Amino acid sequence: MEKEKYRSMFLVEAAEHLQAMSDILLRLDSDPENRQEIDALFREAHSIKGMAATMEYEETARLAHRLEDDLDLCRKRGYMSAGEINQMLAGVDLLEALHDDISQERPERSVEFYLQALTLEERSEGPVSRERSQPPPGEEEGTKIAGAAEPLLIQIDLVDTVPIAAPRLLVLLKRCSEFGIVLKSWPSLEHILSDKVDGRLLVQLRPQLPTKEIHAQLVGYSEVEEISFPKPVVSTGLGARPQKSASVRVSTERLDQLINLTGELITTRYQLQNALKQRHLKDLDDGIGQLSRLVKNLHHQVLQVRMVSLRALFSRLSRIVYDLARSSAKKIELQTDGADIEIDRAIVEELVDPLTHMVRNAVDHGLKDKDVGVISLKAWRDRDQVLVQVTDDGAGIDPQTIRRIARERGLLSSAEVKMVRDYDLYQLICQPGFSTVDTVTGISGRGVGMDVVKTAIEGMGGLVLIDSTPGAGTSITLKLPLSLAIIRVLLIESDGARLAIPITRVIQAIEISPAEIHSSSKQLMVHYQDAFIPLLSLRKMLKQQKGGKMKELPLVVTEVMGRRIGLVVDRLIGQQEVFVQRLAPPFDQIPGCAGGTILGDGQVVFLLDLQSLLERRKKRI
Amino acid sequence: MIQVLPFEIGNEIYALELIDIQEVVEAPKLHPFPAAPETVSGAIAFHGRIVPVVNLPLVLGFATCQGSSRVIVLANQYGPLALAIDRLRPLIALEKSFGKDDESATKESLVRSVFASGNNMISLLDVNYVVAAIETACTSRGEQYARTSSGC
Repeated sequence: MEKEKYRSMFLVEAAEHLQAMSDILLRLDSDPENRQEIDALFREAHSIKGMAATMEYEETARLAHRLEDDLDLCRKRGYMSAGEINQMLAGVDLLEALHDDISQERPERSVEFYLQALTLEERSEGPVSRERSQPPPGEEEGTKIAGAAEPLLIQIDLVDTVPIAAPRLLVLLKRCSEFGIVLKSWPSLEHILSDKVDGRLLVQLRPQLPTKEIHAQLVGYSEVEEISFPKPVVSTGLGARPQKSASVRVSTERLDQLINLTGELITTRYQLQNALKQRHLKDLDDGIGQLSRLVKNLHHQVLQVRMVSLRALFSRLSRIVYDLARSSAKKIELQTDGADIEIDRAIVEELVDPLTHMVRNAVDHGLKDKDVGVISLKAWRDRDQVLVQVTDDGAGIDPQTIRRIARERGLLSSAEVKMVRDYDLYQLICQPGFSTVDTVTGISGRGVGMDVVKTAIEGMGGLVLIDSTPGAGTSITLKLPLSLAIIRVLLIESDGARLAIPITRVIQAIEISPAEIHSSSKQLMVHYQDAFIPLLSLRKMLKQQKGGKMKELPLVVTEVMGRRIGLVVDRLIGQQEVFVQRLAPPFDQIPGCAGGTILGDGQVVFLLDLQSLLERRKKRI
Repeated sequence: MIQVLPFEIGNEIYALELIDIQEVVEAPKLHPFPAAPETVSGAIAFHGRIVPVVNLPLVLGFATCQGSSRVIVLANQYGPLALAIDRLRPLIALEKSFGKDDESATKESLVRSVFASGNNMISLLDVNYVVAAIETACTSRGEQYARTSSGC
């Protein structure tokens, strides 16, 4: 049990050190002679080594030890070469993979091939011998981001009918050793010699021939059924998900605040009990006032415990931009602002994939035709929302292209195509399968792109807003709630039932008169700002009874599936902060419902999820 | 001996084993649950939690629900779930053998076994059947679940 406790402590701390290493390396890339940074980097590696050794995580300790040694050399020399930075980043990636192994309670993967590769790299980069042949560049496999130290994995499957596999495998393994330096093989040479094998050989080697050539040379062997090149086991840092953290580190200062608050609560309880005993209304009133202040404060403090800054996420994205820039041979400057903004850790965890996707999009599509570009990553707070924005200064989105595609795919009628504003058009790129690019590149496969981002963000009660100026760039803004548990909602009424809509989903709540309603092919529309938006009746959507005529129509302007709509409700009640309870299965499957809350007066109110409600309608048709 | 709580639905009598029941709540305020399927009649606030209330007569295929003021909150292992029934009857104790799943007694999967109490026939309800029915109703996107052979 003790070990378990230390393990989670190790995981948290190691993650922080790894993050720091990544950050420093990215900074060193533009300032390779910064001795202080190199020193700091050395200390981080040293800390990891020490921690891992204490915990007996052997492979982690070995790798960290090697990184530390290399950094010591750089430290004495006073600079790090680009190759070394790359190598070090690959090392950090491998440490992260090991960290993953430990957190998943798997045995640590071997770091042997990295240590071997490092020696090789040292020799080839070293001042004395440069004659050692580098893996030929230019091949698809040769231009990998993680630098020269990219081992190749060859998998050879023999046909089922082969009577004795061992001699075959021996021949193949020997052949493979002519393609480069064999780092490891499964089964090992000893196993093959002792005949404990089946019809598959896996060889990991540092290739000195292009993959194609290797394939060509192996394919001639009889009894070989298939030759494949599985992806190497090392994570490149791209797309690797950080583990969801189950524990939280709380500063002692914050803990003290919590303890003080509970202390005050106890005092207030005695005050209230006394006041009640003596039937002293004034004291009772004071006590309750005090209590509500304390509870509010306590609530705030407890929420703070769950808050984390966006710093780790931002630095992760910096790394992705760095890698993308290298792989696409572009010069991309990343500007970040607002990394200190704090948000619920559950939201930060959910943000990794959408933001990664957005950043890749910005590089791949935004800066498609540019060699030099700026991507800006910005976060700021607006009351109880956090906004995160990814902006590029690329080509922007051509509204005419979207008009054409929207028309072709039947997303908009010809009349709508003419009427719709550019801004509303941009929101359409979040529709499933919508793509303005005909070819799919390796960086960001389109088709399942922005709709995934949108689904993820809206699942948290957020909103995705897209804006673009052709020729000047695109900006995508995410509007997010501060916390998933406590959110601000707009309370409304429909057929006697109260419902709540997360305020992040509401653009505006207004009242219109029936005279303002227009009709276009039986669809009721209303003029809002400078466009017509369709009206949808909430009663109808919820299959409630039809309502009577009203003098004023309360309207919630919101955005569903990339389009603005006006939701007609019976009554707008007002805004309130609520504690959201997730519904237990199977009730969490009900379309249109995103959870519920119990209001101060004991009333149960459900959270309306318009997106899923409308999707259901669509599917039924 | 096992204890069961019998209740009326339409002209039939069903019962639940006491260990499957967390609490019987007197006249709770039933709040509307607009997006829910028809078999869910609403939700109650029960000890600070939202508990959906299932219209049991409707699940069992009875069209009309006379609606008792009391609802039965099921034990925790069934998730937060309460059953609306027509009328409660007093607790009765049975020989343990009655509680056993009895294949021969009935073909209906919703009834675990049937026993006699005085002049009445009581069917011991299988809670898992009800839970499964609600799952189907919620996941089949709001379509109403109904027993094929209507008991009305």
